[in-house]
Amino acid sequence: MTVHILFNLCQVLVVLLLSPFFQGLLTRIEERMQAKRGPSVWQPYYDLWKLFHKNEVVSAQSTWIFRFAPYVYFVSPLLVTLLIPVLTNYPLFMAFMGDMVAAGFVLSAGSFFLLLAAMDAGTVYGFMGASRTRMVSSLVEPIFIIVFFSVSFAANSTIPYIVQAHWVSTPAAFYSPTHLLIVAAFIMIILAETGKIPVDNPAGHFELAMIDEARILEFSGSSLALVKWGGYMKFMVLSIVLLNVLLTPWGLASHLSGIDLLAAIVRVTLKVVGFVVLVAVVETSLAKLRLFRIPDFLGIAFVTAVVAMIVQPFHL
Amino acid sequence: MIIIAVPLIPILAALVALLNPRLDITRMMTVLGGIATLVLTLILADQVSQHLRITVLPHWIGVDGLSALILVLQGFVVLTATVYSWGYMKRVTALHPRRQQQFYVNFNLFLASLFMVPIFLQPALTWVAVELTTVLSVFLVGFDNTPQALEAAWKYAVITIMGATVAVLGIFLLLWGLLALHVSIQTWSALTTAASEMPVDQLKIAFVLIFIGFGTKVGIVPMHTWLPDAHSQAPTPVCALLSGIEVGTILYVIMRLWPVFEQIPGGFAQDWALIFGLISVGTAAFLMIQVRDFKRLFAFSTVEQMGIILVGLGLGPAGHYAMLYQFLTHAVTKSLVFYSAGAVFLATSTLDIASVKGLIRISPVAAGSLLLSGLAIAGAPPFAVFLSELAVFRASLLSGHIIVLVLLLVFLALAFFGILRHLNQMIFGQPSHPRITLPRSVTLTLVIGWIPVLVLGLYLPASVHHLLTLTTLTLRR
Amino acid sequence: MDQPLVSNHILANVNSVVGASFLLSAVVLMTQRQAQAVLQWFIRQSILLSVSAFILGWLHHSAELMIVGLITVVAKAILIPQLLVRTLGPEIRSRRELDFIVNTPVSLLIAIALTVLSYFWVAPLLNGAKETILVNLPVGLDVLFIGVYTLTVRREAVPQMLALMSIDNGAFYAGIAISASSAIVELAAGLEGVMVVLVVAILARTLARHVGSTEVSELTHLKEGLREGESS
Repeated sequence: MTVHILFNLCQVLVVLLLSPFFQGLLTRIEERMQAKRGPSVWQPYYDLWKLFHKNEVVSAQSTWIFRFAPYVYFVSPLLVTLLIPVLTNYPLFMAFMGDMVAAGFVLSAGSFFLLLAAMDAGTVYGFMGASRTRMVSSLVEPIFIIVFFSVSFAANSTIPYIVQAHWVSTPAAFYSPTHLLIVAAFIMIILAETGKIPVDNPAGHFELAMIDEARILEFSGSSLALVKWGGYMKFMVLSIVLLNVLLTPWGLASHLSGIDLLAAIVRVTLKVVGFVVLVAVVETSLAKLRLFRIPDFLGIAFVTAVVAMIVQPFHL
Repeated sequence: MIIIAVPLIPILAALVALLNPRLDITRMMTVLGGIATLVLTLILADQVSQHLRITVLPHWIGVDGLSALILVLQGFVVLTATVYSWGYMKRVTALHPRRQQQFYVNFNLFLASLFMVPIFLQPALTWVAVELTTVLSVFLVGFDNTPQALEAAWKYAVITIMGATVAVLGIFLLLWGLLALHVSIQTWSALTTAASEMPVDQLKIAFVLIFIGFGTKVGIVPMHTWLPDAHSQAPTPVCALLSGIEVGTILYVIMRLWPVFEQIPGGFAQDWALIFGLISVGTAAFLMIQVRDFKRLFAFSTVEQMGIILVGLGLGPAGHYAMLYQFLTHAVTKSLVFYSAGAVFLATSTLDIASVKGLIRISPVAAGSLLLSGLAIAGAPPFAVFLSELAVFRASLLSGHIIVLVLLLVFLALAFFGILRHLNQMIFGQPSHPRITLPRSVTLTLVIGWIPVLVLGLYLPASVHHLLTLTTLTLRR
Repeated sequence: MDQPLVSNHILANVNSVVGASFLLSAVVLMTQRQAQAVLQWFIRQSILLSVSAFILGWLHHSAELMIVGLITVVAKAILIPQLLVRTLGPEIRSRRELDFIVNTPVSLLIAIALTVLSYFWVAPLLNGAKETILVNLPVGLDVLFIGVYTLTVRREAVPQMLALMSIDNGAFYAGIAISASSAIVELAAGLEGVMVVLVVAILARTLARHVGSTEVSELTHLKEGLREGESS
C-alpha cells in the first residue's frame, strides 16, 4: 500500500518535473526544422524560475477568481496524473477513483477557471480568447465523448488501466481499424485542446490571431509561471494518455520494484520524445487554419471517432 | 471469325482516317465499313437462327440470339449513320478538313466499341466495353466546341462514368457469388446457372448496384439528367447512334443479367423495372410538352421509349417478346427521327422550335420526313412503333397489370400530344428561312431509314419473328 | 507450420488498418478545398488500395492480385496525377479555395450517415465471411458512396474528376477482396481509368478555354422551360 502511494507520488513528480523539458524540446526541434538555432532545451525551466522571482501585478478590478484560477489550472493535470498509467501497468492507489471521462472533466475544470479569470480581468483580448477557446472546446468535447464510447465498446471499460491492458492483450485488438481511428481522432483532439498548429499558433504574438494565449495576457509573476507550467503538464498528461493507453501501450513497469520504475521512466520519456517529434513535424509542415475552418478540422476528427464506433461491432 | 471481324472493320476504317489526309477516301472507307458490318451482322444473325449460338473463343467471345439481334440493329443504324455523316459533316464543318478527319477517327473508334459490347461472354469484359463506348463518345458529343456542347459532354462523361463504376461493384458481387460456389468460369451462362444457389441478399444488392449503374447510362429517370443534353448537342449522326442504338446496347447488359435477377424471390427485379420504367415514361412525357429544342424533344422521347422497354422487361416472360419488338422498332425509328431533325437543322441552322416556321416550304423532304417520323415514334398507326407498343399493351393485359396498362396509355397519349404540338408549330405557317436542297447522302439516308419503319409497320417478316423468338429464349433461364 | 499462420493473421490485421485509413482518406478528400490537396489525398488513397491488393495477394497466394496492385500504383498513383498536371497544370496549382454546394459539417454528417448505411446494407453478407471481406466490402462500398456524394456537391472540374476516380477506388477496393477476377480484366480496367482521366482532363481543358472557367456549376445553359434572361 505504502509503495503504491509512493509510486503514485513518483508519477506526479515525473510529470511535474519533466513537462517543461518536453516543451523546451518541442520548441527546439521546431526551430531546428526551420533552420534556426533556437533556445536551449532547458529554457522553460529558466523562464519559470525567472517568473517565480518576479512581482505580480493584479488588476484592482478583478476578484478572487483571478488569483485562484492559476492554482486550479496548475493542480488539475496533477490530479489526472493520479488516475492514469504514467509509469506502471498495474493500477495504483487512486486508479479506480475515476475513469477517462473523469480525467477529461478534471482537465476541463482547470480550463474553465482560467477562462473565468481571463474574463474577470476585464480586457478585450481576455474576452476574445475566452470565447474562442470555448468555441474550440465545445467542438472538442463531443469528440472526446465519442472517443470514450468507442473505447468502452472495444475494451468494455473506460478505466485507463483496463483499456491499456485490452490493447496489449491481442494483436487483433491492437490492429483493428477501431483502434487506429480512435488514435487518429485523439491526436487531432490533443492538437486542438493544447493549442497547437493547425488550430492555434502557440508561438504567435499577434493578439487578434490568438486563441489560447489570449487568456493569459493579464497574468504576471508567479501566477503566469503556474499557468504556463500547468499548460506544459496538460500537454504531457494528454500525450501520456495517448501513448500509454492507446497508441503504444508497452514499456511500462510491470513489477513492484524501484529499478523497474526507473527503467519505465526512461522508456516513457523516450516515447514522449517520439511524440514530441511528431507534433513538431505536424506543426512545421501545416499552416494555421483560419478560425472558421477549425470546425472543419474538428469535424473530420468527429467523423473519425464516429466511424470508429460504427466499425467496432463488425470486428469483434 | 465473323464475330471478331465486326468490331475490327471500324478500327481499320479509323486507321485509314488517321493515316490518310484525303477526306474522300476516309468517307468512302467509313461507308464501306458500314455496309460490310451490316452484311456481316446479317450473316451472323442467319447463322444464329440455325445454330442457336456461335462461339469463337469459349468463355470469352461468342454470339447468341440476343447479341445477334443487337448486332443487326447496330449494323443497320451504323450504316445509315455513316452514309448520313458524309453529306452532313461536309456541310456542317465545311471549312475545317482537319476537324472532319478527327471526327471520322473518333467516330469509327466509337463504332468499334459499340460492336464490342454484345460479343463478350464475360460480364467484366462487357463492362470494359461499355466504359469504352462512353470514353470514345465524349469528344463526339462535345464536337461542336460550343459552351453548350461542352457542357453536355461534361455531364455525359461524369455522370455515365460514375454510373458504370457503381455497376462494376455489382458485377464484382456476382462474381463473388460464383467464387463462393467454386465456379471458375465467369460467363453469363455460368451466372445464370449459379444464381439459384447464391444468397438472396447478395443478388439483391448486386441487382440494385447494376440497375442503378447501367440505368444511369440508359437514361432511366431520375438518372437521366445528362441524356437530353448529350443526345441533343452532339452532331446529328452521333445523336442517331446514341439515341437509336447506344442506350439500347447498354440496356442489353441489364437484359443479359435478367435471367440471373429474375431468380430473386418475390419478383424484386420485375418490380424495380416496372416502377422505374413507368417513372421514366411519365417524366419524359411531361417534359416533352415543355421543351424548346427539337432535338431535345426526341432525346426525351428516347427516355420514354427506354421506359417502355423496361416496363416490358418487368412484365415477366409474357412481356419479353413485346419488349424486344419495341427495342427493334425503337432503334430503327429513333435513328430516322434524328436524321430528319438533322436535315431540319441543315435547312435552318437552329434547334429552337419557336424560330422555325413553315418548314414545309423551306425543305419539303425534311419537313415530310420529320412530320411522319415524329408521328411514327409517337406511335401513330401505319408505322412500326405502333405495332410494338400494341404488343406491350397486350402483354401487360395478359399478365394482369391493368394499372400499368392504364398509366402507359395516359403517358403515351401525353407524349403523342407533346410531339405533335411542337411539330405542328414548326412545319406549317410562314417560312422563316430560305428554301434549300439537302445533301444527296442525307436524302439517301432518309430513304434507307424509312424502309424498315414502313415494312415493320405493315407486317413482321418471318425471319425477324424467328430471331425475336430465339432472343426470348436467351432471356429465359 | 505455426509461423506463417501468425504472420498471415498480422497481415490481415494490417489490412484492417489500411481499410480504416482508406475510409478516412475518402472523408478527408471530400473536405479538401484546394485542388492540389485533393490530388494528393487521391494519390494516398490509391496507394492504400494497392497496399491492400498486395496484402490480399499474399494472403490468398494470388499473383493476379499482386498484378492488380502493381497496375493500381502505376496507373493511379503515377500516371493519372502526371496526366492531370500535364493537361491541367494551372488549374491544379492554383491556390484558389474551391466551393462546395453543401457546407463541411453537413457533408461530414452525411458521410457518417453513408457509413452507417453501407455497413448495414451489406451486413447480411458479412455473416461468417473472411476477415478481409469483413473490412474491404463495407469500406469499399462506403468509399463509393462518399465518392458519389463528393461528385455531386463539388462545383469544380478537377475535384469532380478526382471524386470520380475515388469512386473507382472504392469499387475496386471491395472488388479485390470479394472476387479475384482475372488479371486481363483488371489490366483493361486500369488502362480504362487512365483513358477516362485523359479524356475528361482534355475535356476540362477545352472547357476552360472555351467557357473561361472550370467551375462546372456555371454550366446551366441546357434546361427545359424558360432560360435565364428571357421573358415570356
